[in-house]
This record gives sequence, structure tokens and C-alpha cells, in this order.
Amino acid sequence: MADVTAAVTAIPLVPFAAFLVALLVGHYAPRALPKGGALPGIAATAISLVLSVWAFLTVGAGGATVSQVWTWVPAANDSFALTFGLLLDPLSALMVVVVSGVSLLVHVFSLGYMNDEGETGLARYYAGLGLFTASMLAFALASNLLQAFVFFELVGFCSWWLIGHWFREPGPASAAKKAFLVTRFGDYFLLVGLVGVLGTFGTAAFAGDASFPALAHAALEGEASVNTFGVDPATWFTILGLLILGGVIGKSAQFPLQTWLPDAMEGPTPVSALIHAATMVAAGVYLVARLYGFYALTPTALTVIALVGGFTALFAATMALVKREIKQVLAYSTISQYGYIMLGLGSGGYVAGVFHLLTHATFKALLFLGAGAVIIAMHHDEDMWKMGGLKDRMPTVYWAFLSGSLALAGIVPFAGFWSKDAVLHHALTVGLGGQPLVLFAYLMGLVAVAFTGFYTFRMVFLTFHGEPRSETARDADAASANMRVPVAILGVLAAVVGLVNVDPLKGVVGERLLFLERWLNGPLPGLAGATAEHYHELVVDVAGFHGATVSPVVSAVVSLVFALTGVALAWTWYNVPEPVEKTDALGPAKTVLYNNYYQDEFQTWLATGVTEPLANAVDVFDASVVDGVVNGVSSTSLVASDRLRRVQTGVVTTYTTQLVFGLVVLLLIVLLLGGWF
Amino acid sequence: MLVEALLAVTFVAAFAVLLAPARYAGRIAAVLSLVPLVGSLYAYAAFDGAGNALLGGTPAFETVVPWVDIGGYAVDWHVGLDGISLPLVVLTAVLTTVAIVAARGEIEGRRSLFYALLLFTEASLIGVFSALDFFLWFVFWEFVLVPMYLLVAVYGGPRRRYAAIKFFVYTNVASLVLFVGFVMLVVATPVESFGLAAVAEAVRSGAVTGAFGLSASAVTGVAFLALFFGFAVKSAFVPFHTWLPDAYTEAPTPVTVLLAGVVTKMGTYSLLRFNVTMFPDLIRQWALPLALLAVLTVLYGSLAALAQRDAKRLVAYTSIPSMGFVLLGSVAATNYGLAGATFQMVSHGLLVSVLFLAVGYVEDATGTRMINKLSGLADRLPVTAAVLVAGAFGYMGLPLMSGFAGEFFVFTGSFAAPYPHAQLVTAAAMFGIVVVAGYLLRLLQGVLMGPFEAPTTVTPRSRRDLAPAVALVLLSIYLGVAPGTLMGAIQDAVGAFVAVFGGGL
Repeated sequence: MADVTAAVTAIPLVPFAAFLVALLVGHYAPRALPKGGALPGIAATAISLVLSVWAFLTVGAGGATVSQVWTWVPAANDSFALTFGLLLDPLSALMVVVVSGVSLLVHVFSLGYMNDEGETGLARYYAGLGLFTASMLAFALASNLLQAFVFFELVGFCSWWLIGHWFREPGPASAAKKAFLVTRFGDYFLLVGLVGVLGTFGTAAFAGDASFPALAHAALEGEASVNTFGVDPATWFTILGLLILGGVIGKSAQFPLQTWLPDAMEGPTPVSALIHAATMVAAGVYLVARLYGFYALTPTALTVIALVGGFTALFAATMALVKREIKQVLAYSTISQYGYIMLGLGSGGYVAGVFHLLTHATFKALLFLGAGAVIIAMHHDEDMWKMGGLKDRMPTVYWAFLSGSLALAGIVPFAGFWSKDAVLHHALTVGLGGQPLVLFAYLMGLVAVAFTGFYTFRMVFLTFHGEPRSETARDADAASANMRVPVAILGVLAAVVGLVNVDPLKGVVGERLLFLERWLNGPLPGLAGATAEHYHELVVDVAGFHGATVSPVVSAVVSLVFALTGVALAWTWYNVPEPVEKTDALGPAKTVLYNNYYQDEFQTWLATGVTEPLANAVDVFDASVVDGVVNGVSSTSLVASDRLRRVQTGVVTTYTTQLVFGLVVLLLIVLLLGGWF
Repeated sequence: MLVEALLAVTFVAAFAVLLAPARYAGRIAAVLSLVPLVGSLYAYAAFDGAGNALLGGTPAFETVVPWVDIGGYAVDWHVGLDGISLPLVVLTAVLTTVAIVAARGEIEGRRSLFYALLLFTEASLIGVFSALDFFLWFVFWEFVLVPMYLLVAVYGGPRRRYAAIKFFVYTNVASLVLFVGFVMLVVATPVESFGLAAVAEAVRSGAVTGAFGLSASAVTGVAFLALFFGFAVKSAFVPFHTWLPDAYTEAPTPVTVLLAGVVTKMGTYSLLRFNVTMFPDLIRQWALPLALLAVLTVLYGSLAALAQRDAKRLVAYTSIPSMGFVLLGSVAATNYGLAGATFQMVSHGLLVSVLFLAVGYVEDATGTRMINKLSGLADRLPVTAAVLVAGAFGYMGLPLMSGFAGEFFVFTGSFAAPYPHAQLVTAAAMFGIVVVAGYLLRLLQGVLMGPFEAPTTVTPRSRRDLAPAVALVLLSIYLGVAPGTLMGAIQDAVGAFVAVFGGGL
């Protein structure tokens, strides 16, 4: 299997090499860097994609494997070693294909968005993209939680780098800081959880019989004993799970740590596509999926995940209703959609959650790149109220964007319909099966479906339909080929990718069309603990989540009705030649929504209204009290301050004499005290 | 004999540079400093020590020569290196060369003396880290103080006299206290030697008797506290830290590099050597209050840093929480805790130097280091900006740089420490990583981002001037990717502690 390991190791290393090339050649010989680093990046991500597909096929052929690549710290003194490795299983194989694929398209798109627009700092930009891609790929392939954390943090660093790309402007500079800081706050909990996992199990491995999820299961069954620091094992595992969840909530922009994400729109739009679809935001929920064998052991943590997801899905959707800027709508839709993924995973629907992760990556990358093309056509004006009528100006982008919007709104047969309904169906069955909190989360998710349909098509109609509402929109140019092609590819994918798991039609067509479910079910020789089937058993047997029987068709029809209601309302209000802002009727509620429930104000207040005065108080206390005592003690002692001033002649020899004298006196005192004279 | 050779070469180099003409002093010093650097790297490569020098291990390059006899107590010339001291000797040699190279163009007058003092400091520091006899150790310990005082008092900024006197008096009082404490302890034990291993063995085996009208346990307790106070001042644990911001800020950058990079490590290193090694029972017993002191040091230091507007002073304050992490790992007394504390000392030495160098470059290029007067330097000073970003993120604990490794080991070891509520205490200290990110990101935003504004025109430094900082960044990345290269020897030396303390992570 050595060749498999080598080839899979190369998946993240190749984009890393592109990062180094862009960084070093960009600094020493910028002219020698083809297309400012775009071409090395495109080549690297293409190679990664090929290798990822190959790895995917290898897994399909029964080649799932876990291997150790690097010993970070060797084991010593009865303690454990810390290692890096590769876990190649159906989940990670799927993820690396998605990541490298989206990254390749983002690189190509950037040719149009960055290079053709004459942006500066291209080497810095492509170096950031390369490191971002490499970190995310290494994260996806991580074989243990430590390694996952390492690359999770590097992903965060890259987000700072790329969101702050236009560092001259105050907006991106602040947004970059905020993105890192808010996610760092979440990562703090993750780090505590990681340290706790190591302290409890002595390993952070994800898969295998000696992995910590397996040990936790054995401990609950009474077959193994682990150090739970005096807490009941089930409670302790829940605590650890919730601590790790802190990092997930930060990175996946779930309530209450979602505030960084809309600000992150200050970065270049291709970066937004990468962050939202395949890398940073996806990293959070991917971690839950990766740790599913652990989360499935604790019903409390699962319920919290479902509730956070359901609430965030609804909460973010309400804010998306009233935004003026196209990227803001998409930003809140991302938060909301990751809420659905959390809802799916939290209600025990591993396959459903991963399915929505996959489809969302496709259609959200598409929508961001489409929006990027629109933004270029609008000369960086993102206000939808200044757009209108663009469908005649940029037809390819329009049709692709429409495909993505139908997927986002969850309209049959586009991708989002299948996956979102898989999530909702799962949440509904578990909710009715005796988990009222999950049922509540489901209801929030269901209401959010209508909102999603509304805000999505409000965006489509305002942007592409009606009459142009500004000069720029009237004279908009069609997107160039390097932007059109990635958008078109994703447009097709958004239409069809949902067919990999046509869950609602299970009763009609049987199990034949459930490719994804079969893919995740395994069987995996040697990695039985990482299959969806095993997770499902845990969810039922250990967490006690039993599903009631609800026809998937009924659930799908219900949510489709909700989605169509939202779309229909948007149609009547905004698909007119001269739309007006109907949401103004919401009055003060709109102001609250538009200002995101004043959460940013709250967080700013935490930083500048609480932390800063506290820091200043500490500083004053430090200078007056702590240092005051020190100075007070010294001035009452031999070295009184006025005498000090007198002996400070500035002549080096004087100082030296004083020092030698001081040393001698010191020694004499000591020797006298010691009684040696 | 390698340690003696290192010491001799460095002391001789110091005197040679002192006599050299001022014009060439810098170049001569740089070249001469390569000798101990290569020597220390050779020591690293040829290291064959095993175990802990104070706990029955066999240090590498060990020599024991009877020296003098004070009042019936043997004082030996006893030096040697184990897995804990070796990395610090290498760090000393690396940072001295860095400081000498970084001093180019920084120092106006009395150059020969300046470089001579740097080399003298290096020799004394190597002595502190390699001495295995208390008296010898104490002589080197005091030796460090003299050149450091002069370097701050003569070559420092506007408030240099105040800073230097404060540093000198404060740390000297601390030295006096620890000296008295240790001598008291030795008097109360039957050993007739100042050998650290012998005293450690005697104290651990309960051979301390009552003395000076105090009971045995009181003598041990007082000695423990006296030593801890001495090292706490040197390491600048809160509330004994107030000499640090003044000294770091007023000292010229090359001196700050040595001061922040190595001199504070004398305190934490000695804390490991004395308090932790000699008094395992007391460390166990007082672990919780000491760990709480670590938490205070981390959080208080971070908050104080948040309030700073002067970039150099801000970086000075960032040192305080890092030393708090070292204390946290040390009192945990577990494999990862102790090894992490040692690793963190090395890592902090590298990264804090990167930050001070970067701030120094910014000040040289713009004439100011007030954050609110700086803006948008990212593309005007690209390499400086890259160094500052790397140093800041390394300091924040960006994985695959040494800072993350050190902190992570400390947290891992501390979380599983045997004292009560270790999990909560560790989690509280860990919150420092969020605050650190806050003020360093603000520093980056203020200095590098935004519209370009600087009081004067900006002149980037030559590549040669920037080379030391770049080298330190690369070293930090190397240690972050492959911490095992150091951790092997460190864990070997820590193993003896773990055996004493009865195992643990």
C-alpha cells in the first residue's frame, strides 16, 4: 500500500508546492511567475484533482486505508506519541475530490476575476489559495484529531491572509482580523477538547480499533477503562463532544459565532467561493462527520448539534430576506445551509448531512462564482437594487445561476432538493420517534425552507430580471470565458449532483439509486468503525435515536410546498419590470434584521466596551499598584531614588565599580549569614 | 571538555572584541560568535547524555574537578549537559549570533564594548545552563547580570537608567534571596558539597534536618519559597514582572533579543532544576496555587499587553503569558508538561526574538513604533512584513511553527496533571491564546494594513540585515514540523522526573 500512501500524501503536497512557488518566485523573480502564480496553482490543483479521483476509485475498489506518515513527537516515559497520518475512507475520498475540484475551478475563475482586472499582489493571492487548498486537503485526510486541528488552524490563517487581500481598505483588514479571532474563539474550545481527548484516551486517532471513538464506545459498554477525571463516562464524553463542537460552530459559522462570515465577503469573490463551498466553513461540519463514531455515542451532543443547526438555518435565513448586496444574501444563505447540514448530522442522519455538504459545495461555489461574474460586470457594485435585467447581458451566467438558485431553494430535481429533503426527512422521523427537541429543530428548518425560497429568488429576480436600474447594469459586459466555463460546469453539476442519492424515491425505485448511501456504507475491510452503517447502529443503539416511519415522499412534498411558497412570493413581488422593496413593510423588524439582530454591535461591545477597558484597567493597576509597590520598596531601602540620580554619572567605569562593589557586598552578606567567618 | 572549550572560547572572544577597533568590532564579533555557535551545534550532534543530570543520569561533556572548599563544603568545577540544558545552550549561541548581526547599524558609540558585553553575556549564560554545582551556577548567574545591566544602562533608550537600575536591583535582590535560601537548605542537610545532584538527592530522600531554630519541613518550605521567588522575578511571573517591560523596551533591539530570548529562561530553567527537581513533594502539594499563579500570569499579562500602544512594549508584555505557560507545564510534573515547558522556553526564545527584530526593523524604517502612527506598511516593507506576520502567528500558536508545539505539549501535560481541578485550571490558562491573537492581530492590522502612512519616507533594510529574523522564522518552522528532534533528548531528561513523580502523561 506504500504507493497509495505516497500518492495520497501528494494530494495536499502539490498545492503546497504551488504555494511555495508563488511565494518565492513571486518575491525574487515576479516576472518569471506565469500569470502571477495562477498557472502553477491551476496545474497543482488539477494534479490534486486527478490524484483525488484516483484515490476515490481506489477506495471504491476496497482500498480504504489508514496509515502513519510522520512522527511528530516520539513516545517516551509511558506517554503516547503524536503522529500525523492519512485516513483514506469513503468520506475523506469524497471530500478531497470536492475540495480539489472546487479549488481548481476557483483558480481558473480567478484568471478572469483577478488577473484580467489588473489586480496587484497576484503572487500573494495565489500563494494564499495554494496554502488554503493544501491545508484543507491535509485536514480532510487527517487520521487524528491533532492533525485535524493543526490544519484547521492553518485554514484559519489562510482565511486571514485571503480575506485581508485588499489590505489598503479598512473593511477587508478588519474582516480578516474578525474572521480569525471569532473562529479562534471557537478553536479554543476545540483545543481544550483535543487536549481532553488525549488526556482521556491517550490517542486522538479517528479510525481503527484503537481509535478514541472505538475506545469511548468500549468504555460505555464497560469493556475498556479510560481516565474520565472522576466524571461519569457518558457525561464526560458529552463534555468533550461539546468542546470540540465549539471549533465546529466557529468555523462553520453557526450561531452564535456566525458573525465573521458576512464580513468575510470583503475578500475577493473567488475566495468567498472557496471559503464557503469547500474549505473553511465546510471544515467545521466535516469534523462532525469525521467524528461521527464519537458523536453518535452521546444523544445530548447530537441534540445540541441538531438544535444549533435548526436554529441557525432559520435565524440566518431571516437576515438574508432583507439584504441589499448580492454577496450578503449568499453569505447568510451559507450560514443557513450549514445549519441544515448540522441538523442532518445532529438528528443522526450521517448520510443526509454528508449529502447536503456535497450538494451545497457544488451549488454554493456556483452561486459565488456567478455572483463574482455579476460583480465584475457591475464594476464591483454589489447592490442588487442597482442591477436588474442582467439575464440578457450575461445569459450563460444567468442560466447557471438559476440552476444554482433552484438547487439552493430546494426545487425538484435540482441538487439541493434531494439533500435538504434527506436532512429534513431524517430529522422528522427522529423527532417523531421520541426526540421532541429534534422535532423542534426540524420545524425551524422547515420554516427556513420557505424563507430560503423567498430570499433566493428575490436575489435572482432583482439581479437578472426586470429592467436595468443603473447605467452600469445597462452597459454590463458578458463574462469572459475563464469565468463562464467554471460557472457553466458547476451549473450542470448543481442540476444533476443530487441524483447520487434520490432518497425520497426510495419507495419507488428501490435502493438502486442510493449511490452515496452505498458508498458511505462500505463495507470497509479493517475500518469497520468508519462506515455509515456502523454510525447508524450507534445512533440507534447507544444514543437511542429511533426513527418513526414517515414516508419520504410526504416529507419531500411538504418541504417542496414550503419552498414553492417562498419562490412564488418572490415571483409576485420582484419578477416585475420595476420592483420595489416589499420587505419595507416589516418596519422596525426589518431594521433589526438588516442589522443582524445587532449581534455585531454586541460583539464589538464585548471587545471595545468590556475587554479594552479591562485591559486598560490592568495596565493602570500594573503601573500604579504593582509597580508602585516595587518602586516604593526600593525607594525606602538603601537605594533611595534621589541618591540613585546622583550616582548616575553616565561613566561606564563608575557603573562597573558599583557593580563589582555590589557583588562583593552581596557575597560578604551571604558569607556572614552562612556563619563562615 | 566541550563545555569548557565553549566557555573559554566565548570569554576570550569577548576580550578580543573589547580590544578590537570600533570599526571592525561588529564584524569580528559576528565571526567569533560563530565559533560557540558551531561548537554548540556540534554538542547537539554529538550529544550522548542520558537521563537527567540531577536525577542519576549521565550528562554529556561532563567534567568534575575539585575547586575550592568553603567552610567545609566542597565547591567543584562541575559542568555537563543533559536534554534540558542542551537546547538552551544552542538557543543561547544562536540568539547571540543573531543579536550581534542585528546590531549592525544600531549602535553608535562604544561599539567594541557593546559586542564584548554581548559575548560575555553569552559565555555566562552557557555557564548558567551547564553548571552542575550551585556555587559555580551562582557565579555565572550573577555574571549575566553585569553585562546586561551595562548594555541597558549605556546603550538603551531615553529611560535606560531607570530601567537598568530597576532590572539590576530587582533581580539582584531576587538573587540574594535565592542564594540565602539555598545555602540554608544545604546547611540543613548532611551533604558536604554544593553539587546540585548531591543536594537534590539529599532533599528528596528526606535528609533535611532542622536548622536555625526551624523544623526540617520549615527549612524545606522556606528554601523552596526563596528559590521560587528568585526564579519568579527572573522569569517575570506576575506580580514580579514590572522590571520586564521597562528593561525590554529601553534596551536596544539586540540586547532585548538576548534579554527576552535567553535571560528570562534562566529563571524558568532554574525553576525546573531546583524547585521541581529537588522538591517533588512540595511541587505536588503546592501545584494548585502555583498553577493558579500561572493562570494569573497568562491572563494578566495578556490583558496588560492588550492595552499597549507602543509596539515594542506590547511585544515585551507578550513574553509574560508565555512564561506563564512554562510555569503551568512545570508544575504539572507530567511528561508532556515538563517536556513542553522546556520546549516552550526554546520556542519562545526564537519567536519573541523574531517579533522584537521585526519591530526594530519597522522602527528603523519609519522612525516610530507607536502603532497608531503606523499604517499600511505591508507592501512597502514586504520582507519585514512577512517576518512580522510569521512571528506574530507563530506567537499566537499557528501550528507547524514551534510556538504551537510548545504550548500544545504544555496544555496536554497540564490537563492530565494530578493536582485537583487541573482540567479547569488548564482550560482557564489556555484562554490566553485567544487574547494573544487579539492583540497581535491588532498589531498586524495597525502596522501592515490600511492606507500607507508613515512619519517619514520608508527605507527597507537590506537582505543581509533581515537575514537573522528570516533564519529564526525558518528555525521555528523546522521545530514546529519536527519537534521530535528536540523532544527526544528532552523527554529522555524528563523521564527521571516522571519516574520520581510516579508517571503521567
